Amino acid sequence: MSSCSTDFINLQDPNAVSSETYYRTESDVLAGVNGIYQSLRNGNGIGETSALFSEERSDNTGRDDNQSNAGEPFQFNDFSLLPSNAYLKTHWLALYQSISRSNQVLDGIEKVTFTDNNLKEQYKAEAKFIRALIYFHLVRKWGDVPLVTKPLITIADVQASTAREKQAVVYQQIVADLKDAVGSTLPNVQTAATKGKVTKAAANALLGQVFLTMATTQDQASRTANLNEAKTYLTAAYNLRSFGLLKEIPYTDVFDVAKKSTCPEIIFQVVNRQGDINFSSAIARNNQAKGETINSPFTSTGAGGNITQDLVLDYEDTDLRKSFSIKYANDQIVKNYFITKFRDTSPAATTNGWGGNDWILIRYADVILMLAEVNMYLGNEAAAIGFLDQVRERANMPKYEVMKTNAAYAAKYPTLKLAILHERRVELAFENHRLFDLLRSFTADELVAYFKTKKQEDFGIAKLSNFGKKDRYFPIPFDEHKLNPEKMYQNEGY
Amino acid sequence: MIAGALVFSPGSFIWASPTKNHTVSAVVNNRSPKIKVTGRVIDESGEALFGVTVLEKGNNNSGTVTDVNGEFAIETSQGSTLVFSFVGFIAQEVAVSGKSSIQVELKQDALMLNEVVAVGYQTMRKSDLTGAISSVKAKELNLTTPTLGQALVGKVAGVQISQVSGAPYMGTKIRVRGVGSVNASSDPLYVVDGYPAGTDIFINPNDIESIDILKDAASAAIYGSRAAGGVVLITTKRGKEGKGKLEYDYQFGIHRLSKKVDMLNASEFGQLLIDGRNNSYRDLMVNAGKTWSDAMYSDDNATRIKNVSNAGTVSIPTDLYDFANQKLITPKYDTDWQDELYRNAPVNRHNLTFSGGQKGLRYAISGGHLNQQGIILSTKQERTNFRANIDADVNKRLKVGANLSFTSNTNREVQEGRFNQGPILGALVYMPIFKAYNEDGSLAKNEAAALSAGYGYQSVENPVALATETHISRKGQRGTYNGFATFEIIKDLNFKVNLGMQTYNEKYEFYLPTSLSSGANPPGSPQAIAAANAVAQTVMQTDKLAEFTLNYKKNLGKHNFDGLVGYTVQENNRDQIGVTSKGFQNDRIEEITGKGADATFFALNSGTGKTDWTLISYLARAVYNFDSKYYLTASFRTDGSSRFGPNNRWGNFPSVSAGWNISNESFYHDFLGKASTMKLRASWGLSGNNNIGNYAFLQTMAAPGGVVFGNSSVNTAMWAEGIKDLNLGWESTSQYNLGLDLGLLNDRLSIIANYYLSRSYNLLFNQPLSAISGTSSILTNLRDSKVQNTGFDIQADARVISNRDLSLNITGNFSLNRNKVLNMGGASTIFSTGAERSYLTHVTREGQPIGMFYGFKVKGMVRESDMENLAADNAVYNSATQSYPAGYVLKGPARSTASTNPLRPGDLYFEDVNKDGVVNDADKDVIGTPHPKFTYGFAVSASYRQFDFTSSFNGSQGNQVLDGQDYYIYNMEGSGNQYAKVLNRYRSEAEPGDGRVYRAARGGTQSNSTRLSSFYLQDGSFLRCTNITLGYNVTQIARISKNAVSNLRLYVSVDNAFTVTKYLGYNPEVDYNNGANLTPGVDYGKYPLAKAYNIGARITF
Repeated sequence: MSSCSTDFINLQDPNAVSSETYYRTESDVLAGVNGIYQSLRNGNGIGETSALFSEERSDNTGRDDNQSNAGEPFQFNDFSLLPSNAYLKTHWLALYQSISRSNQVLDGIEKVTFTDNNLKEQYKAEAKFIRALIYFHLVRKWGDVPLVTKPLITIADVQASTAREKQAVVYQQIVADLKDAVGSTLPNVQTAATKGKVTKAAANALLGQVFLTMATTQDQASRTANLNEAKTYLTAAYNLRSFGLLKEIPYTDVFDVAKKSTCPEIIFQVVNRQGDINFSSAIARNNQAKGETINSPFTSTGAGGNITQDLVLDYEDTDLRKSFSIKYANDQIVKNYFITKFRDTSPAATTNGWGGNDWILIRYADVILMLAEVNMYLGNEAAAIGFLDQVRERANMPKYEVMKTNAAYAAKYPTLKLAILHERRVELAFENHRLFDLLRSFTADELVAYFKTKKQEDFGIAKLSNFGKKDRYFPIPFDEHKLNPEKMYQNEGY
Repeated sequence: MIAGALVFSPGSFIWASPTKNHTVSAVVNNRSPKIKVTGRVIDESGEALFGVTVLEKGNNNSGTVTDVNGEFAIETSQGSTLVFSFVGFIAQEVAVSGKSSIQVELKQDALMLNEVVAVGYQTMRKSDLTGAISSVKAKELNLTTPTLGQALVGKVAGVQISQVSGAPYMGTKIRVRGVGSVNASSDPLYVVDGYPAGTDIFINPNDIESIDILKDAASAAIYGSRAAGGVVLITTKRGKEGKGKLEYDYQFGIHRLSKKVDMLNASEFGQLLIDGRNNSYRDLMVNAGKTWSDAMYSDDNATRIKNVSNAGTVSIPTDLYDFANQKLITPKYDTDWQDELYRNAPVNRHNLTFSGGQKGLRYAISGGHLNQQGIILSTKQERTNFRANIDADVNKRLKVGANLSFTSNTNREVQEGRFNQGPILGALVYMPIFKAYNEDGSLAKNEAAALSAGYGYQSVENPVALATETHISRKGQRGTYNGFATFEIIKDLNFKVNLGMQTYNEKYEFYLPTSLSSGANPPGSPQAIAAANAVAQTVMQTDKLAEFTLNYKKNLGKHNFDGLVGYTVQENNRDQIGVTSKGFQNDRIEEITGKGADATFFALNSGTGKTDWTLISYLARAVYNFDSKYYLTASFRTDGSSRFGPNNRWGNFPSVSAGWNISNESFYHDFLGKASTMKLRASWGLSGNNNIGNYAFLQTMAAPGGVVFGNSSVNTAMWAEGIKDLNLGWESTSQYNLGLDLGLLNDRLSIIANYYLSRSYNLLFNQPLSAISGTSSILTNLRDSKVQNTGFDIQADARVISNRDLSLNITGNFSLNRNKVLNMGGASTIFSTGAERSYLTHVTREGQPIGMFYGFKVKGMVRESDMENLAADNAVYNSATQSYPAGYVLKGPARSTASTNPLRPGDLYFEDVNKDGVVNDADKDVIGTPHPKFTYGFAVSASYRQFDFTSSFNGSQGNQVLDGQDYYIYNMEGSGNQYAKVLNRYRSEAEPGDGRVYRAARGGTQSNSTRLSSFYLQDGSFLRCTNITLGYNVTQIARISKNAVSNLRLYVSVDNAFTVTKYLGYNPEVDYNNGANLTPGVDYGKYPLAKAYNIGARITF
């Protein structure tokens, strides 16, 4: 056919740039990097409304409602998760979308000439950090997962890569990406104006956590080496702090919306904008129970953020973190505790509850407790207790050595390991750490045993007896498994 | 004079436009003396026939045609025979024997073999067809209905026309010979007067002369890449030379809800709520391992919540329940929400037509106005149609014409679907215990929603308020401007140019006021104010078409040849802007301009932007017949479309077909009776499908998003959309057709039968992809995929009685289609979600038809007698591994792993397909079909003297409907109102109900019994009387009015008079997913059908 007619039918989308030709200038790359950060806002991924996939899979929270949305959300905390669960698939997809965006940037950035190579390296480090962060989520939740580090353009490419990769290989990639970030031109810390971006402190903290997790869950031959690596990077992160001891930062400051850009404890966060219909935080209002005003000027109609009685009972009596984090709502339809850790009651949040709360992903209390943990594993008990006490001290709680003599405490937390785990639980409740803490601290069998010691009546209507070895991992989403039943093999028990 | 069944179509090369008293030729015959014969030709009703050809038998050179008064004059030889022929009538021979004046009455030809049929770019005589084409003439349509699709229901064999919605602004769903596609649309291509354009559903039905549907691929292949769903050719009326004629039609109708759904009344609902909450309370207590006694049914709400939390699941409103005596308190109100929402809606239609022609200029001009109120409060459509069709003969060789039409419509619409937005499902869900209006006459709002958290009511707003206070309007204007010219280059060779343009402009407006509840929050609350929003959207669409065709027609003795070649280009530009604004403080300004000050209250909607498509085509057709016995047709089209990837833009679409007119063979000897005809047809063709979006081959960057850093502003964030397939190309359908046409009993009975086998290849398919690609599916062609449709359709027309005073005609059609996915091209099974939220409702897999219902099969209901066995099973069940010990044989019903409660008497249980003791995803299977075993239609029409009567019916047999509404109105929760059938629920062993409807509970049985199962499938078979009309022709009117009025017809009619069906909801023909191939047959809050009572008059001046 003539070239004229070929031109006539050769149309390009006038509204969008083709992704192949997108990367041309440094600002294109910046917008692309922003695109990766944007994916962190997604509640189906690891955003502030993603508790369903972590906190509700632990013993911290759950839901009373086993009926809404075909009962599918309830399956998570009921430990009756089916591979066909639509929320599970959404979560899996959202996580891989973050990875896909990172891969696109890392590929596209090579097409652009930078005047400042440091800037290019910084962008790459940001992309690699987030890719590693998400793979870290994937590998802990599913075990072996497909590992993709470049954009997939054709169907054949995708199909060839639709195969689960051994955990060890995924961890290798995570470590490699994070080591690149640690060794990059990233700033050590961000200024108030650039909070929300990746720093070396964040990269070190995450890499430390990765090694700590590898030490307890991966090849035990490398356990000590991994623990030492963990200690190295966690210490590096710790050394980048701009305060002395944790007690210098009041616990409530960490969650104070007015101080979110300046609080030196926060290492990495997803930033929200107060009063903004599109970019505000919903966490304060979502957790607020009917009849309450402590979180938000928003008028709630439901029961608010659900908490298991098991967690309520885990708080020590005088712990200021208890009164700050949870509250009993006496409304006649609630009569239960709800989450109060995230608050924005300022008028600027409006009665719509458009809060300014940032969603904190990494903070120093977490790093300090991981330092306690790693030292505990390495046998440096004194150092471990020192870090543990740093956190307890800030909460006005007696030191560990004192508590060891308290019969109730000692009975409940007979080992330092359990004491640190407990401290992490109450310190970091509702920040989506608990599931990973449990997975890191116990083998599958230990985990089943740990859950079996808990009481059904402390778990509401979710059936504790459903908990089994299968719950160490999520099932591979039904659709993904079907794509290649052999290479996308299902996890045990599903 | 009547408008004979003369068909004209642009693109036609048959110019059946006789001029007055034109003598074809007057050859002097020397053998016998010449006489002048005059006379008049009339039809069976005595009306003059204009344009009848009068020829001397054996001498084709001598002839004339009748004038407007049906009169003719011809010179002929004494003793000769005159042949009178006219399209649509049986030719008649009259011997001239001394009479100089004769009156001839022509009878209508039931077979219509001489009538012409539009076949695309040309017309052909019906007798010459070799493909499968269904023709419907204006007089066969149900013209009392407001839309064309509705007028066609039940009229066409092999074409399923479904009334899926009763909204005044919605059309029908048309499927030609089943569904051959997965993700591309299966809608047919509509061609109006030769212009292939979008679904112009608001064409004035009164303007239509005929509708021809190209069913087989051989016939449709001339439209190439757009023909896989069949082609609907619509031909509008044109002027005929003669005295100008003015017709005025007026119709008034009352539309009302065609069927009221039988729901619980207030007391019945109240009892259900009490049972549901009490049962749930007991379930939760037992689950938590706490002691239970039936005395606890008297526990007050505070005690219940203290014991098990879950207020909404266990609390009962104190004004409904006498806790101490465990009895219902009769509710204060008993509102029938359907009565509140639906009304008797008046519909007015005016239509004025002016047509005629003289001296080489013919015209037909019409205007119509429709004011149709919808049966749902506040809905309506106002529509104005204008059309002018003009033809002119510039000279003997050059003919020109124009078609101009304009349609304007103003709709007031209503949202469908879930009750939080749609009042239709809302009127079913809303509890009868609440009042509709306050004492002061204002709408009572937030009655149920305010109590939703406390008592587990659905947070639904008063559906009357939803319908009347949410403002949704759509104004559309469509104009078609088409000019054409035909030039006879040399004898038999014609060149035609057709240039056209179509414009469509639309403004859509939506306003959700602050005066409605937002969830549980009352009108005017901060939440309701925050939820208020306005949408404004404009669409500007321009379509341009140029067609150039060359036609050669030659008769050489017994060889008849007709050839066509053509070139066409079409370009479509669409420009859309949609915005949403928020921040409304009140409802004073219900426009986007009333928004709040903050810039973030304003957003562009998805879909905003420009989309264009272009199409270039070359086409050819050759038709040959020998002695009207042997027919051969071949066509070819090649299309280049902008919609596909650069590697696959061009597609070729050939076809061949042949016919054998057995009855014209000398050996036939009236084998099937005197004057019988018999014709065999066979065809093969390839047609394509490009019914996908534009630019689907190109991966682009998504619309920019935002991310916030520090305390600063929002930063622009970019990322790529899902990957796309650069090789994206056509989906092709190859179809064989075998046909038999019979004319029996002296033209009294005609039968057209077709058998077809079609296979679609390279299916356009949203292939599931692993999330590692960044998306979950990609539109591509499944290379080795095949979907098969095979079927049979038959159309029979019988003129049972035909005489001057009485006639009775019966027509019927029957269609059967079997759809099967032969090969998925390596793709895995497709699961689709077609109803509420994330429910998987349909499955498409090899060896099964497309879009089968998917879920659990209900095996029975648990009874007290099962409990012992269940307890034995429970004792060995490992809930952590969701399994039984190896080799364990289950004693009781299998448990569902999704169930949060142990099975209790009154619960449903499902079939454990793989016999592993538990029911889980692995036990889901095909549980039913949305595809009918067969569909049919029939019509009976009769006339007696001045009375005429018509009735039409259509039906479908063997299909099921997935009632997605059941999720709310058949769940035994008491959280919303329910089908009256819920009275048959299991209450106790003493009152077990009908054994099908499970026990009342909220939350408890939810995760088991409300799993999508065969429980939610209903028989969707139906027989519907779509129209009954009784008319009376006031023949005396001419005399009374002293010829000012030549005819007056009065009629009464009922549309959708009755439907025989077992379906519980409104309409078994419903299609919630608007024609999606993968998710057919779902009901979910769609606008119910109206039954219309009409009265009308047609006055001819």
